[in-house]
Amino acid sequence: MKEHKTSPLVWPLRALGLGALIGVWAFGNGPGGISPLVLPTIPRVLEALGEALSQFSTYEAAAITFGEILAAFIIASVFGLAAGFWAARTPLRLQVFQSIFVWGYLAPLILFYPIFILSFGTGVGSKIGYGAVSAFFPIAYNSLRAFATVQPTMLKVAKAFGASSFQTDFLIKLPSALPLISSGVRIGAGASMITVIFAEMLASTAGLGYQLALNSQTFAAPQAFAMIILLMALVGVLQGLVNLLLTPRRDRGKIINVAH
Amino acid sequence: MKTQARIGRVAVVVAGLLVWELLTRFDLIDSDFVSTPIAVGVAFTEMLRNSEVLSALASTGGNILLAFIIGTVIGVIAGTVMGLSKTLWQAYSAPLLFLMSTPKSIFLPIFILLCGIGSTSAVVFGAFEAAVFVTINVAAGMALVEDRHMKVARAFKASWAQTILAVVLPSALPGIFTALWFGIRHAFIGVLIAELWASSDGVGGLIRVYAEQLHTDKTLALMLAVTFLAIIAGTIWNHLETRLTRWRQSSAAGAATTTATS
Amino acid sequence: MRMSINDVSVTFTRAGSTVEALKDINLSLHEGEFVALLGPSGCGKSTLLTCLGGLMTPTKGEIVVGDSVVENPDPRRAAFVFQDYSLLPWKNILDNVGVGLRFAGVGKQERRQRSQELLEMMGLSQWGESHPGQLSGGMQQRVAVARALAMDPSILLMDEPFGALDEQTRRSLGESISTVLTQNKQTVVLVTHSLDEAIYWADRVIVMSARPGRVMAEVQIRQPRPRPLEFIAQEDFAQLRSQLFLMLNEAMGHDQQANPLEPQRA
Repeated sequence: MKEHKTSPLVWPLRALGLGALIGVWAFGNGPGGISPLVLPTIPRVLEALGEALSQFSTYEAAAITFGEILAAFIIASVFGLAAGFWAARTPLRLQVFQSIFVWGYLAPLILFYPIFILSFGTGVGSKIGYGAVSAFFPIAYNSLRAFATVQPTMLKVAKAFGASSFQTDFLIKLPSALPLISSGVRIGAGASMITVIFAEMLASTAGLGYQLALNSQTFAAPQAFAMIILLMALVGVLQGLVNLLLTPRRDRGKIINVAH
Repeated sequence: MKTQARIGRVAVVVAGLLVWELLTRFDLIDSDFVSTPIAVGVAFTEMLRNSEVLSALASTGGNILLAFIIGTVIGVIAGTVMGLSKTLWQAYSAPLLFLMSTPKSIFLPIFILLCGIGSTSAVVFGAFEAAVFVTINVAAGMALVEDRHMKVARAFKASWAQTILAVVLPSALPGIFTALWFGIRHAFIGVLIAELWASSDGVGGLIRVYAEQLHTDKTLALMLAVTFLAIIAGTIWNHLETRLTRWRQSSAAGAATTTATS
Repeated sequence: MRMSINDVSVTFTRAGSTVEALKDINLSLHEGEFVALLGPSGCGKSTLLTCLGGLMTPTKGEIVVGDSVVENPDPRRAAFVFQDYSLLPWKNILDNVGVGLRFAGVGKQERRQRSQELLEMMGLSQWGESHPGQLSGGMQQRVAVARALAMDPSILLMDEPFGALDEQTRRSLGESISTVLTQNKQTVVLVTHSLDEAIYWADRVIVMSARPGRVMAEVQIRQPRPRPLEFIAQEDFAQLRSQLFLMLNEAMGHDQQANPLEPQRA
C-alpha cells in the first residue's frame, strides 16, 4: 500500500459527516416529526447513557458479554488451528476438509441459534458454544490454507539442512503460515463478536445484548440507544485488542487488509 | 485423487449423520433438543409440500432480492466515489471499516423502531448490511488500479471513457465481484437476522416459531435447506468469479509482486 | 520528423524542498537517428524522456516535434516503451499490441491485422491469444515494443527497456529489435545506464551528469546499423567503451553516492 500524505481535509470531512448525522437526527426529532418514542432526542439518549454508566449492573453486563466473546474466540482458535493443522497433513485430507470448512464458512450459522438454545439453554454456555462454532470455520479454513501453501523451496531448504519433521513443522511451516492464520483469526474474532451479541439479543438473561433487546422490546428507546453506543464501544475495545495481538510490531499503525 | 476426495467428503458427512443418529438412538443426547437425521429428513420432505413454508420462502427471497438491489446500488455509488477520491477515502474509510467489523445486529432495534416489525425493516436492514460491505469492497477494488497501467492509457492517448473501460474496470473487476458477492451474502444474512429477531413471517420468523414450539425437526430442516441454498450459491459464485477473472491466475506471480510493492 | 529540445529545465518540489532534476537541456534529433541518453542513476534521463513524450511538462523551455510544441501525450508522435513493460494483464497479447490503435478508434479488422504483422516482426506470432502472465520478461518486452510500433510513431521512446532482463536475453533481444528498428528507419530515444547498450544501439550517445541533470558530452558511433553482435568484441567498441566510461565517471565525479532522486522517476 502506498503511503499518501494525509489531506488536511480529513478531519473537517469527518466532522462534517458527524455533523450531518446529528443534523439528520435532530431534524427527525424536530421538523421531521418523528415521535420521540421511536427516535429519542439526543439529550435523552445522553442522559440514559450517563444513567447506564453510573450503574454497576451495566459493567457486570459488559463483563459477561466480554467474557463470552473471549471464551468463544479462544476455544475456536485452539480447535480451528488444530483442525487446520491436522487437515493439511495429507493431500487427501486437505481436499476433503478444505471443502467442508468452506461449507461451514458459507453456511449462515447465525440462523442456527435456536438449536444452541435448545441444547445448552439460555445461559452463558450456549453463547460461548455458538460463538465458538461460528468462529471455528474461518479459523480452520485459513489455517488449513496456511499450512498447505508453505513454499516448496522452504521445505526443500529444511530437507537439505536435515531438519526433522518436528523442526520442519515448528521452524518452517508455522512461521510461514502465520500471516494467513492471523487473517483467519481476525475473521474468527469478528464472527464470535457477531454471533455472541446476536445470541444475547435473541434469547438470554444477561449481557449488554440482552439489555439492548430488553430495552427495545419494552420501547425504552433512549436506553436502547445508550446500549447501542456501549456495545459499539465494547466492540471497539475488542477490535483494538485483536489488532494489538495480531499486528506484528513493525506493521503497527498501518491498515492491514480488509478482506472479510 | 478427485474421486477419492469426493468419496472422502461424502464419508465425513455420512459419518457425522451416523454419529448424530446413534447418539440420539442410545439416548446419549436428548432427541428433543437436536432431533435425529431421519426425523429431519422426514420433516424436510413434508416441508416441500407445506404452503406455509413455501410462501415464507417466497417472501424472504423477495426481501433478500430487494435488499440486495438497494444495498448494492447505494454501495456501488458510494464505493466508486470513495475509490476515486483519496481524500474521501482517508476521511471515511476508518469509520466504515469499524462499521464493517461491528456486529450490525446491534443496530436492529433502531430499524425496528423506525420501520416497524415486518418486511420493511427486514429489507432496510438487509440493504444496510449489504451497502456497508459493497462500499468497502468497491472502493478497495478501485485501489487495485495500478498507476503504471493508467500511465499506459495516458501515453497511448485513451479518452476518459476508454480509460474507464480498458483499464479501470478490468483492474477493479475482482474487487467488484467480491463486492457483489458480499452484497448478496449480507443482504441474505441481514434479512434473515431481522426476521429471526422480530418478525413472525418469512423464513426467519418461521424458524423462531418452530423453535419456540420445540419442533426441532422442522427447525433444523428449514435451517439446513437455507444453508444448502447458501452453499450452492457460494459455490456457483466462486466458479463464476474464477472464470471471469482468469487472467489473474496466469499472472498470479506478477500480481503478487506488484501488490507487494505498490 | 525532427525533434528539438530547447532550454528544458525541470524542478520538483518534494516535502518543501526543491530539487533540480534537469537544467538547460538543449538537443536536437534528426529523422531516423538513434540517440541514447546515458547517465548515472538520478541524472534525470527518465524525466527527460517523460517530457519528450508529453507525460510531463517541463518547468521551463519547450520540446518541439516537426512544427508543434509537445504538450500532451500523442502516441503517433512519440510512443513509449516502459521499463516494466506495463502490459495490461487482462488483455491477450494481440489486444495489448493493438491497444493504442483501439484508443485511436481504428476498426477491429485493421487493428488485428496490424497487430498480427507486428507480432510476426517480433517473432511472437503464435502467442497472440496468450495473456501477458504466460510470457517471459523478454517476450513481454517485445510485446511492449510492438505496442509502441503499432502506432507508427515518429519517435520511439524507450526507458531502460532491458533493465529487468538477464544478460543473455538482453543481447539477443537487442539484436532482433535493433534490426527491426533500423529497417523501419525509426527515430529512437533510448534511456539507459548501460555503456554496452548505448554503444551497441545508438548513432549518438549523450552523456548526462547528475543533480542537476545536464548534458555533459556527446559521442558519435559511426559503425553502420544494424550492428552484428560481434561488434561488441571489436577494438572500436572497446575504445568507445573506455572513452564513455571515463566520461561517465566524471559525470558522477563529485558525488558518487546512490542518488535519492532515482525512485521518483515519473
